[in-house]
Amino acid sequence: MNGFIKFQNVSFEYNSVKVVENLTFEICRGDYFCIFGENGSGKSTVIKGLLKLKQTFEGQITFSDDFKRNEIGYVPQIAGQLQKDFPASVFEIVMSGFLNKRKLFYSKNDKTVANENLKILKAQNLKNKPFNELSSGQKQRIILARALCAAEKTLVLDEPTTGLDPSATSDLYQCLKFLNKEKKLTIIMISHDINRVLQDADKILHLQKKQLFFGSAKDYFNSQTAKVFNFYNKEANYGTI
Amino acid sequence: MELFSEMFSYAFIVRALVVGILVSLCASLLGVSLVLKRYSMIGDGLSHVGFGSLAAASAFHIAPLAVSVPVTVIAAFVLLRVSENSKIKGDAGIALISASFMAIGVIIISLTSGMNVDVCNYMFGSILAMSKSDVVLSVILSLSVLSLFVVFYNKIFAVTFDESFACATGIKTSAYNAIVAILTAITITLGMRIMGALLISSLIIFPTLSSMRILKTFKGVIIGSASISLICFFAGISMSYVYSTPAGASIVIVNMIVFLLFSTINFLMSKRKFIAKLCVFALLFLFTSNVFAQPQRQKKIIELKDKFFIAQISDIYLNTKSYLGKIIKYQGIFKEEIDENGKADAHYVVRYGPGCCGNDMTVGFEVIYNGQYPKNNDWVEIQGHLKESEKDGFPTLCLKLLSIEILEKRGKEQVTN
Ligand SMILES: Nc1ncnc2c1ncn2[C@@H]1O[C@H](COP(=O)(O)OP(=O)(O)OP(=O)(O)O)[C@@H](O)[C@H]1O
Ligand SMILES: [Mg+2]
Repeated sequence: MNGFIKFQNVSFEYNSVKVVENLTFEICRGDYFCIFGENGSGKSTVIKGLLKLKQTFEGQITFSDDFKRNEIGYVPQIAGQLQKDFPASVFEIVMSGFLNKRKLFYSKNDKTVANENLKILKAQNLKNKPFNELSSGQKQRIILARALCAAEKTLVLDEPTTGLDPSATSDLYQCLKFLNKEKKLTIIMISHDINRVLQDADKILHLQKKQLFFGSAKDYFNSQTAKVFNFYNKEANYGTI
Repeated sequence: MELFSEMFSYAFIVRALVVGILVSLCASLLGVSLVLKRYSMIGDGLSHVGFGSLAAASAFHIAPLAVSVPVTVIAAFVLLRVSENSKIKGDAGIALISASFMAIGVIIISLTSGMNVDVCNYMFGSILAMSKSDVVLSVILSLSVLSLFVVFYNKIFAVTFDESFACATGIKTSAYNAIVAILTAITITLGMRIMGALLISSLIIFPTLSSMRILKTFKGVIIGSASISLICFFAGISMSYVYSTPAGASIVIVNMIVFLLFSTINFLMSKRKFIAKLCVFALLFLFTSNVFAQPQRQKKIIELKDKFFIAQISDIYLNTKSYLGKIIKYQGIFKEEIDENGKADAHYVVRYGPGCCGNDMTVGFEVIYNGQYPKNNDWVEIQGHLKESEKDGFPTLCLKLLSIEILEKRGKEQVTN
């Protein structure tokens, strides 16, 4: 499999301070690709760079020809805080996921698909509610449904389980696995849910201002990086008990 | 209803209504997008840019719209860039540009014609400032704004709601931002004539905010805002007609009342949205059905009344073609102009207008009559055909009289609008 998305020596800056550097990795077609790292390690920045929402400072990101922008679905981080007082119904927002298909009006089929996606996220009863009157977890489900509508080949998720209850979280991971294995979607996800994600993911990128680990999920499990990271996690856990 | 048929008998009010309806529709639609993206100030900035360019155009005697539309469109792009760029404070940038253009406009005006009625019109708006060709251009432009908006409605929603999602998933957000900017610029320049540079941005902001009080879906807000805008425009124009208040300010006042009303409704019936929606549509329906039920009568004789005496005469001068040959009827003071030999060489029927700098202005037409002229300063009622004539080498207008009648009871000699 050749590279779908390739990072070569990429770095990003904010106000001319480098926040991540020396990224070299590739994402292949059909990958279940996961990014780990502690807060502020540059995960969201990498995703934004990949989506061309943020320019690279150094290096190059190359995309293969069949990587089309209008086949991506995207779930931004903290989607629940989106546009606080925007008047829009849930359905209007979910439907807007279809608009990247170079068309101006929705078709009947779009409506059916949107309804199905709402059903997958168990949010069909919210369909006609005003978006800004939902709870954050409910909002997160709607934003996920919109991303599912937009995603034809690729789904990019930035901490998608934020605010979801345990059953919704496990439903979401189930759904992502299904999309990846059955519908052959490429999935690129940031998550802190390491143990759960390692069950499904193919490839892992671990960031800490630079690239600490890049490789298959299996290798990651046995790597030094994972051990150190989990050690920290465990220590944190002991602290709270 | 009497009121409406009376209003519709003035050609210039009908023109203002046509342009005003279209412009307020455009403004309210675009307003939803601008307000939600926190770009309301762009409207204000653009209106000042529009003012500056209108002033420049009129100083150099170029068609005002031909200059101000492109200038404002360019300014819209710049303002959009400025407010997207987080390094410069967006609102400060807008204030900067808008103040500069305002200053340029004022300087140009003071260097050329001085502060005059025209400037006043640009600042505070006037329903009289439109010639027929202006109207045609305005109608074409605002219809294209409307149709573009309808065509791109869904995309505009996506870009307004979540620009980074739209951008990440391959929608050309900058193109849609540009479309909104261009449409806004055009709408503002068109609306400025009626509303005035200082008040046009309210046409963008108020309807959206009002309809957001009670409606919670994007489509609902769009439709609500368009309806509110139309209703307020009609109500404002009618108010301006009845109380002789400036049109722009009256429309803003009505908008403000509606906003307060809707805020109260929202407060009182936060649980009964349906009823509130029903109220809006019932109001809208009542209003439009009344308006369209009015037969538009074409009067043979155009009568100038006390109300809008000056306005209508300036309209006759502005749009002479559509009045030529028609019979015009009005009352006024008969004036004789005496030449150096002591012979009467011209006759006028006039009224006194608002004085400017101590000089009383007289408003009326030169009259030509085959029969016996009355005495100087008599109060008369005349009827006559409008003709083009020449005076001291300049083309002007006069009335070829059919009848002239001396009235005992003198009417309103001083008129104000
Ligand atoms: N808009 C910004 N301006 C300046 N610095 C920023 C900005 N956004 C992020 N940073 C910095 O860049 C670094 C990486 O941020 P990023 O959002 O990518 O972290 P993250 O890995 O996604 O963290 P989290 O797990 O909290 O989501 C951080 O150190 C942060 O301080
Ligand atoms: Mg992040």
